[in-house]
Amino acid sequence: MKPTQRREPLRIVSREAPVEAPEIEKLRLESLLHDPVTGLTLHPFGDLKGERVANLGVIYVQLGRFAGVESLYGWELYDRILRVTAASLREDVPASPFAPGFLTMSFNGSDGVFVLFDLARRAPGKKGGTLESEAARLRLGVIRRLKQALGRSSVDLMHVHATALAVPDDPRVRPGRNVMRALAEASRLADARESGEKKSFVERLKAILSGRKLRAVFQPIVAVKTGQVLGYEALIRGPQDHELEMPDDLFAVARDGDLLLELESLCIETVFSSLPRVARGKRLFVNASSRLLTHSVFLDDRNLAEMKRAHGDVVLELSEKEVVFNYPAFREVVARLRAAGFGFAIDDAGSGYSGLESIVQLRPEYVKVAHTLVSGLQADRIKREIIGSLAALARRIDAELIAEGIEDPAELASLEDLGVPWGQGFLFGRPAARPVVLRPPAAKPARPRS
Amino acid sequence: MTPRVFVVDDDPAMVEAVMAVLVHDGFEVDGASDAAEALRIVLRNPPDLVVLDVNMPGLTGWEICDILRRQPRTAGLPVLFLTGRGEVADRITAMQVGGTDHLTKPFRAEDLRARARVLTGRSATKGVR
Repeated sequence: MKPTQRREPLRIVSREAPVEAPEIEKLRLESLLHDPVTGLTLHPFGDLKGERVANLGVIYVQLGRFAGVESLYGWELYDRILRVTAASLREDVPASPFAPGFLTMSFNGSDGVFVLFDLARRAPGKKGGTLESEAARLRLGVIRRLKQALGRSSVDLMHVHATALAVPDDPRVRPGRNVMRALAEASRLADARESGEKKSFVERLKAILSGRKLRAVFQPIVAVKTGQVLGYEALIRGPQDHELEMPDDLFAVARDGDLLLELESLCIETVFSSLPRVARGKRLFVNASSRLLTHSVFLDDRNLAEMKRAHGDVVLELSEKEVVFNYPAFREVVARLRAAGFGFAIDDAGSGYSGLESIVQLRPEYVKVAHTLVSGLQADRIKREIIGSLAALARRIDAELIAEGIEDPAELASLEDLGVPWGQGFLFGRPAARPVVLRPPAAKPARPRS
Repeated sequence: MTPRVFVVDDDPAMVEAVMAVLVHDGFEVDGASDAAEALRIVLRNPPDLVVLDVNMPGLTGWEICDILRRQPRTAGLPVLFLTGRGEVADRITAMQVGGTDHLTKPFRAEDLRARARVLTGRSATKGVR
């Protein structure tokens, strides 16, 4: 079977062949057996039809769990990554010398794809190509297409691994179990490879921390209607062109190496020691975790006073998911920080972890709408609906809404329609050590309303 | 041509209420309170819009939407979730299974009509997935 055939519909429903009662159960089963995003089977045995495979070849392509891409960037980006990965494999597998023996391609339901071959049916004429070199070729294809499609530095850190394994049949063993063990072994090999790489990344992070090599950049937050600047969000970068340049990557590695507090402390220090002139008269938004905020070193009166001296108008941004799980624990800390003159913002609101609970509990001055909700909102009613309810809630508790990640004039226009007062994103200016505020073309003249 | 709407809710009174609102606005409306039966009808003869409850015995609205998205004839069919589940997480689930829009019960007749008009006006639109 060719890999492209896996997406075949179950059955086309037509007027001549009405779907009868048992068919609904079948559709439901098909839904359970096939991943909707990749279109791949979740259950490879179905395609093997109970046959023994004399020499089973398994290539396993795993997207690293390291960076926790889905929880960092959201399910939509992860869906795209999975789609690109599956499409890349579908395109590259037929060119393999092992293609005549292709059996099936299955998704492990989370982060890896197995490609199964009957190695005995390898193309006789085609030279070269061991199973290992095929695994490497498929891996490079996935990485190349992910970079083309996403262009993110994080693709590097996502650690696409590929392992290859040949498993001879053993007639004493049931064929299903033989296959299952082969898949488990391939994925164990990938894990081992990943953990080796993790260690080397943690070492690189340690070097950044001890060399104090972080940089702070600042992104403007502006009124969507007038372009008036409310303030700047401080963001952290690793050394330029380093694999750990982007903050998500830094934090992913820090989480793994148990270095979060060290990283975060250095972030704060870096921000307050490199404030650009433009940020001084405006509000300064600084990201903080509940872990940091409740730590005695941070809460130390001298530390707080020093921050206040460096900048008098600081808003601490807390992620929605942090607040909901930890609020009772740091209620007092929040009160103390407020008394010391710090404001609060809920970050990533509407990313779905907590409902609106965290916002009500923290009573922040600002609510920042997650960029995943902002992206493409003009074409998505459910996103607009969620932003609308965030706006209503913000009004009730006297908080102001800031939309993050605005990149497109159409998004801006939709946000204006929804009454979102503040915005942040490439359209208004990129994060930079010396930030420049842009005036988006669509924001100036009044748009003709249909 | 009059846009056709199909309403699915395990509460027959709700099906009738929604039908009444939309018929009043000139839609051709059908409905069913049995989820599996509703799915059969929609698959056999796709309408221009499906109004779908979430919590139903047998099949949930999320499962129905997921199945519709996998079938070529209904992959792009607009699905409006009309449900008591209005948490942000529920709305996100609605997007994840491919829903086109979401309205929370209790709803106002004019909200439902406005959405039905927009959604049937762009019945070629794909789901969000």
